[in-house]
Formats: sequence, C-alpha cells, structure tokens
Amino acid sequence: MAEDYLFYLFGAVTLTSALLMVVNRRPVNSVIAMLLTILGVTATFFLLDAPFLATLLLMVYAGAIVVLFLFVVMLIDSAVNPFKLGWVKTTLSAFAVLAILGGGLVWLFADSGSIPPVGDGLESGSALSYSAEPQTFGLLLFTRYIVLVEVVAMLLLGAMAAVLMLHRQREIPVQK
Amino acid sequence: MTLSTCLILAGLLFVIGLVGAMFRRNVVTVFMSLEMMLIASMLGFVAFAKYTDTVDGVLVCFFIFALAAAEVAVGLSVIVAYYRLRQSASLDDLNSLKN
Repeated sequence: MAEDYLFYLFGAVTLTSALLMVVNRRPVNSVIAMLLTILGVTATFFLLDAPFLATLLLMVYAGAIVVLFLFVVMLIDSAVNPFKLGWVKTTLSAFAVLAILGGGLVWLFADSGSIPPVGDGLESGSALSYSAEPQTFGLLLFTRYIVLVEVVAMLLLGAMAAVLMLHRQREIPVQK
Repeated sequence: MTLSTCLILAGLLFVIGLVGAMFRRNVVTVFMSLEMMLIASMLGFVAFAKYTDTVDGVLVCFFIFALAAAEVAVGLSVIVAYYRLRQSASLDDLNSLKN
C-alpha cells in the first residue's frame, strides 16, 4: 500500500518536472527540470524492483548526460525566441496534441482492455524470470544478446569517430 | 501500481517529450525532449518485464543506455559545430536546404 502512494507521488513529480522542462524559457532551468524527471524515473525503477537499472540510470543520465547538456548550454548563448508560432497559437496547439494523445493512451492502457490481466498467458516459457541480480544480466548479455553487444560496441566506435571528425582543427567559414 | 498505471505514466512522459520536440524551437530543448522520450520507453520496457516476469525488458534498457550515450555525444557536438558556424541555436535558422 505504501508502494502505491510512493508510486503516485514519484509519478506526479516526474510528470510535473517533465512539463516544466518543456515549457521553460531558459535552457538552464530546463536542464534542472530534466534532472528532477530523471530522479523521479529512478525512484519508479526502485519501486519496480530494478535497483541495478535505477543506479545505472542515475549514474549515466544524471551523472553524465545532464552534465553534458549543462556544458553545452553554458557554451552556446541560446537567446532564442522559444516558440515557433507565437505564444497563444503554440500553447493552444500543444495542449490540443497533449490532450488528444494523452487521453487516447489513458483510454488505451486503462479502459480498453488491451492489457490482459497479469498471469493470464503473458509469461513466455523459455525466458528467464525477472530478477534484479547483475549475474542474470551478465549471463544473458554474453549468451543470447552477444550479437547486440557487438553492434553496440560498433555504434559507440562510430559515434567516437564521428565526433572526432566533426571537431578536428580547421577553419570553419562563418556564414551570415 | 499495476501494469496499466506504469504504462500510463510512461506514455504521458513520452507524450510530453513529443510535444516538446514538436513545439520548441531551441535546439537544446528539443534534444532534451528526445532524451525524455527515450527514458519513457525505458520505463515501459521495465514495467512489462516486471509484470510479465521476464528479464529481457531490463536488458533492452542497457542497449537504450548505450544508444542514448552515443546519441547525446554526437548530437551535442553537432549542435556545438552548428553554433560555431551560424552563431545561433534556433531551429528556424536551419533553412539552407529550403531555397
């Protein structure tokens, strides 16, 4: 029961800070709101019995990605008019999209009966059961998903090469 | 806290990120909204893994981590290069293919 209350509390924190991130005018405030969102999702992961993944999310996202975003916000002077179409039009159309998509998915996941009740033929026979132990993840990563691990390694190598090529020393002509 | 409430939370987070990516014109904010959508999809994967009692959904999250790290590195360096070229961080100035 306490888990339910905590879930709704952290869900409210997550959604509120996500909204703040989207509507904020200054990018620095957006980054801080994104940090709060990540903390809320981390707490939800703990409630879903995935502490290893929650720790990883905290380290990778809050520790690395948010700091990178902060550096870039500091580096570039983003005095941008924040909305594309003007204030009123943007707010109205954003709320329309939010209401249509949000209402649709609440209907889909809550009322439509598309989610079968748990334990009703959802389990697959051959998969390992849910566990929070790193040993299970290691076993699967080096047996069933070994090809995917190699693909991710190639992806990271390609990303590193791309960044090096983008920022090699040369004269960049300034166009106005 | 059932499968449907977890999926509703993940879906609402995804929709908020989508709205941010659609209606903002600051490059950095749009990019943060994309990250938000990745986190929302991760939440959905973990919810399905927990409530179907399989471990594969959690493993997909590891690959999403790697994807997000690569995406952030490349995307932010593209943003910095674009800013050095144009002195601007607005999506509206990315129009050199228009004419």
